[in-house]
Amino acid sequence: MGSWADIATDVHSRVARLDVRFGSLGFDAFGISRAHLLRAAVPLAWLSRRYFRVRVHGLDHVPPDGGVLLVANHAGGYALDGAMIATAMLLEHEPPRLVHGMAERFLERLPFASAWAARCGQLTGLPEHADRLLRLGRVVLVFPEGARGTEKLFPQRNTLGAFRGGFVRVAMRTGVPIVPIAVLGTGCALPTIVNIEWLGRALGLPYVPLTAYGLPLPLPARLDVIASPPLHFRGEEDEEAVAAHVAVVKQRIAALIAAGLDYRRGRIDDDGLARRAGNVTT
Amino acid sequence: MNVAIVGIANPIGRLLEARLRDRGDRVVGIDPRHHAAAAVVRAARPDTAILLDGAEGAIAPRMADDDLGLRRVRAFVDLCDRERIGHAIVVGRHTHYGAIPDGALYRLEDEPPLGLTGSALLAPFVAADLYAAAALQRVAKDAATHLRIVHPLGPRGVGSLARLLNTVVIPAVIGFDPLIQFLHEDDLIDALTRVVDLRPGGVFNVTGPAPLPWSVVVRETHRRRLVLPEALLNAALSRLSRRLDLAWTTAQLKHAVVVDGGAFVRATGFSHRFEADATMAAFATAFPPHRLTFMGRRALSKRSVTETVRAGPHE
Repeated sequence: MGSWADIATDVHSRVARLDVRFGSLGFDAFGISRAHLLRAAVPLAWLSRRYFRVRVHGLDHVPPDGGVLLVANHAGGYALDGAMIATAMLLEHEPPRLVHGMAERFLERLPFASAWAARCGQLTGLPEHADRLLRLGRVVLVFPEGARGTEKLFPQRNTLGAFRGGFVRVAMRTGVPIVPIAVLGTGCALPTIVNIEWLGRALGLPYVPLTAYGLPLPLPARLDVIASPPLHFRGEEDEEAVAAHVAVVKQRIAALIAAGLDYRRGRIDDDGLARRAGNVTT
Repeated sequence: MNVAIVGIANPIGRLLEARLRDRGDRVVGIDPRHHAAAAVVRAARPDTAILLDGAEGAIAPRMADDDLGLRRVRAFVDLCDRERIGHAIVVGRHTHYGAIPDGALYRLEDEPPLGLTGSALLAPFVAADLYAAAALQRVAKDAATHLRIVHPLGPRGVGSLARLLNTVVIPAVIGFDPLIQFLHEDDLIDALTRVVDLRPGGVFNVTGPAPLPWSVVVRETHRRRLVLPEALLNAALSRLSRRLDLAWTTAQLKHAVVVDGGAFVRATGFSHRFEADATMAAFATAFPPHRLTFMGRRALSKRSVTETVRAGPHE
């Protein structure tokens, strides 16, 4: 499964198995296009398998059907982690599932990027979108750190910023489980030394990440995607309860990052990682 | 049933009139600002009055002298109040909600109109929509129904989407491809007749099949897109809008206005008969690109008024 042709064949067969109802013209009710998905997924799958050599751990914690909210840490200049989680859910999860990333609002103003994101199911991060998708049994991916997460510089790559609480409210309203996910290695793939905000503003972006080698292009660093068992939050949506649930999710992702770092440094093996990811105390 | 229609002369009005007459209803066309309107209504004793002005999405020159329809809406409301009309229906457009970059897909009826600051062209429609919705709830005797319909499309070339598609080249903004929501003209008439029969009270979005990207709509109707930078399109579209009485803005060609029609389906049991591909094929067959005249004007007026719309004489 190494060559481009093999990867393309695999991607085609897995996109055909997605639980998405494409109409006769190849579009679903959200404007997701089968053709665009294929065009985007093949290079992403190549990047995942050959360039970043992504290792996926515990993805079977994501239910095979029904609405589920994936909550992950953010690092590495831009949403490389989101793309790799979505690719993993397409290539490694059984059955393959389409991930709807909740995109930053600036993306919708960018020519080409906004159209491509929408055709591939990456909708603007609005509670209305998350609610509707989850009630329809789709997989929604959020980064509670927002754009501040990708702003992290190289030394802070494995830390967590402040979490916004909207995702917990959405999960409680829709009654779906939350699967915490840690992505490691994106901070090494794009080692940001400074974020140039004035250039970002000129381009309609929050900032442009500047690396030690000048270009905002990722290095072929190995990435790890680690999922933990789902969390279910029920009860009243009051401020105190939501803050407590957010803290639980953040704590679990922090523990996953710690376990993942030990794994990457060779201190624990696959079984050890599985044990720690599955038994993270909160 | 007796039905009074304001806007009976526009293509949707003619289609609705034909459908209602076919099933035995008595239909009368009225202009609420005419001095004889009250007398006509008193003679006809309509059970239902329908204001169709917003349905076409046209900016008729007369509307400019009429505060773009607001005075006409006011006259309609007063007439419903004075003559104690049982059921009042106002038909507006789904573009009411506004084409903005961070607008949600599938907007619900209770959402406010957004993005008006960037669209002086659409503001009068929204003002008329909001005024009608508020005023009719107050004056209608039995029920007031406020409909926000998506773009009609089909073999008669009705509506502003059809008019835009009948231009020689179809404008698009470089790098953007918004979802466009439409329903077949016959499905629209079905929806309106259901409202006349069932008298659901409240505000409803009326939708058809799932939306499609603008590029696909243009391709499937065998047209060609002219992809322009936004600044250039702003100037071109403002000229085009005036020439073709179109209420289209650059924002609508950049960002989607997609609405949720679930409440209307639950209230009336409506379901569309024509899928998107059949609707576009019907339009493309009736208006093949090679038959277009400059800006599509003559083709539209011939097809929509004299050839395809069967309308009885007005009472």
